[in-house]
Amino acid sequence: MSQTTITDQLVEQVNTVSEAIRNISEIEVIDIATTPRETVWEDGKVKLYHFTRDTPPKAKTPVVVSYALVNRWEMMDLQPNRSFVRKLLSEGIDLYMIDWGYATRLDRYKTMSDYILGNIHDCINFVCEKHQVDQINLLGVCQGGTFSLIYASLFPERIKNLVTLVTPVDFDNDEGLLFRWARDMDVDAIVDGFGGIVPGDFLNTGFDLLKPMNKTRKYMNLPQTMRSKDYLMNFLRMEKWVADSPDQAGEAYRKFIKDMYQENKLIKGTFELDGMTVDLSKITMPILTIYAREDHIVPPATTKPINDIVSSKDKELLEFPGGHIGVFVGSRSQKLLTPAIAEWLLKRD
Amino acid sequence: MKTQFDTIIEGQKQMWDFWADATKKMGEAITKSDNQFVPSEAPESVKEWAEMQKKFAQNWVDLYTNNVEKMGLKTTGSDGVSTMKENMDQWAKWVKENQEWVRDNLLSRLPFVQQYHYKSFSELYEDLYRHWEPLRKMMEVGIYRWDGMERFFAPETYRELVGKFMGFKPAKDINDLINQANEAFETYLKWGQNTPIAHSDWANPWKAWTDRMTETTGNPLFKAVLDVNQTVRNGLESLYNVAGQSREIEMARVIKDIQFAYAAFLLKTTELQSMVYNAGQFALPDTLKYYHEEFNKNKQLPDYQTFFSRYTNDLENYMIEVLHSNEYSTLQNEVAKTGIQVKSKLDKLVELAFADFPFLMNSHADEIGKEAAALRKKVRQLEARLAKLEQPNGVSSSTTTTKKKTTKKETTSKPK
Repeated sequence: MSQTTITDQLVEQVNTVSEAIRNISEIEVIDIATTPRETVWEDGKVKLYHFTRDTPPKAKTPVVVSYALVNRWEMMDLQPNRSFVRKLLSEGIDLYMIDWGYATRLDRYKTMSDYILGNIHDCINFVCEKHQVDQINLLGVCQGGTFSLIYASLFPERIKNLVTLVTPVDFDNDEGLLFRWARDMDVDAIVDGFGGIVPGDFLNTGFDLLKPMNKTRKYMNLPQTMRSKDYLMNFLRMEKWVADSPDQAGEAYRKFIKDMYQENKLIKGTFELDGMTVDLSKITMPILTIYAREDHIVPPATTKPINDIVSSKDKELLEFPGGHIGVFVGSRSQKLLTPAIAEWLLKRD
Repeated sequence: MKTQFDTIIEGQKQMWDFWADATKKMGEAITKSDNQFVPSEAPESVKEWAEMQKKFAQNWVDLYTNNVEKMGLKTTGSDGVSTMKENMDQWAKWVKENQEWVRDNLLSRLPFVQQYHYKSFSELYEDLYRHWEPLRKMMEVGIYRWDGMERFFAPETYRELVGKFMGFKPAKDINDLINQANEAFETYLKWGQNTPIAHSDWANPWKAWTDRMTETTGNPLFKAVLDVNQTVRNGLESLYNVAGQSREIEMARVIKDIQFAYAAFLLKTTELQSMVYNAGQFALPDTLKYYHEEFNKNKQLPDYQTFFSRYTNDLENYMIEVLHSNEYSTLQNEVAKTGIQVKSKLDKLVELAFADFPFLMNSHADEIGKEAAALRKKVRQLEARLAKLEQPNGVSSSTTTTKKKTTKKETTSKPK
């Protein structure tokens, strides 16, 4: 090691500490989901938000977003310069978001029917009534996308356009570890043993194991991350979001694991909800299916078949060059994905 | 607690030694003449070195002066450093204090569960660093098989390290532990299932058995079970005081179940850990071999962080292979199931103890929850029927716009 290299490294490390101190000192609040919004509807713990716009929307048809029950919707509005929500608003979309809230033991008997035929249906009816329209655009994310597919097949007349983001439909997959593990899961023992409410931390343990060294890598980069206030805030916001993992209503969780992961009923056309068989071929509206090429949580192979099974004539498959989370917060999401979604919707407005 | 910042400190000390040594050598390359330093050789590199030193000193002074007040630290009164030794000591002290401040203040801003992960990472980063010198030597001379590595790196130590990567508690002699525990557990299970118990003597046979097994096998599993036994027993004393007479035997049975469930959980957990350790043992030899081959090519060894980073990747590759296996998937489910059983039975025990008290227990709340869910479903069905009737042509409920609660609230969120 040359003397210059040694001195360089010393200077670098002193700078690192100095800048880290300054940046940490300046942090007041770790704020996420800051786009202005109104709560326009609520039922129990579930809320519907309407994001505030400064200008009239370009699109006549509002978009309702159905996020997953696992983790929180705030990922879509993590910070102002990396906000899926803000970007869609800036592209002229009128946007609503369903917030599922935090399930407690009192929700242990809440079912998939309650979420889909109850909450989603009610939210869509509310938006239709408010805007005096018969149809809305539905954008489903991950598990919320699977819910959206189910809803759209049962009530196709209510959906003008359907967008699914990183949404699993074919659960017979060995590539994704979650899919592999869920098949061996004794879900009855787990739901009943936990007293009907599955802790979010239990699910997070599984997510952490998908890439077991990710946390190690993240912390290794921490000294460098702290040198930039922006990077430090990005890191802290993401940590806040990751740790905020809601518990799952046991009956909904049980059915989702059994019927989807273990028996793959949705794509087989045998999935039932309140006595109604869900037939995905009843989906006829235009559909945009988006998958992430490097998605290790919902691998592309579980998502791509959506377009094969629906009856829509106007259907498009869009590949996003990144991972599951990058779809919402990556720079490519801001530059490529959100404008593409807005353009697709505006063309079909 | 040491963190990667402390490791950096140690690295810095080493670099400082390098630097001091370099200064000495540099001094030898300089001849003094008429109170002026004159470089006798390599003037450009000396100039560059001096510039870097000046830059470093400036940065350090800035760090020192700018942060004293912010961190609530006192000055030592010896800012005007006069000797190299003083300079070095003070620099090391202040950088250490600064880094500790950074670590503590960062931790306080992380969510609670993430603090645990961050601390674990810091520990394992530090643990491996303790072996850094022998690891460098191994890479240099080409020792990357376990029969040679064992001289520098005990397998138990390595197992412990891999466990920390995965968040496991360390276990020793895993295969023996599993075999012995399996055998003994099954023997006891057969005996226990046919043995009637009463609250007064529920724990004694179990304690005698675990005592004997702990002594004869030296197996830590039995010690752990014994600990649970004792803990539950201690807890039971107060529960018996409040429990209805008729529930004592039932409670004793639940406690016996808890012990079995806990033993099964420990056993399965150990098996799972063993699977991961076995896979992880190949990663370190791979990393060492890679850098040995690199060393043969360019005579350079990686710094600690580069090494750690590659080792992490190698370890993850082996882990993912295991995580994808059928065996792991089955075992993971069993670990989850047995762990949750312990929790579930403990819940049951608490319910039994307080059954005669006017508390709303979980099972009562569950009944209410169930009824509320059924009512919710009924309301939805009635609303759908009503919506149909409200439509002029009796069209499907899906085309109606049902009215739900439509409150409006301004959020507190403001644009940033």
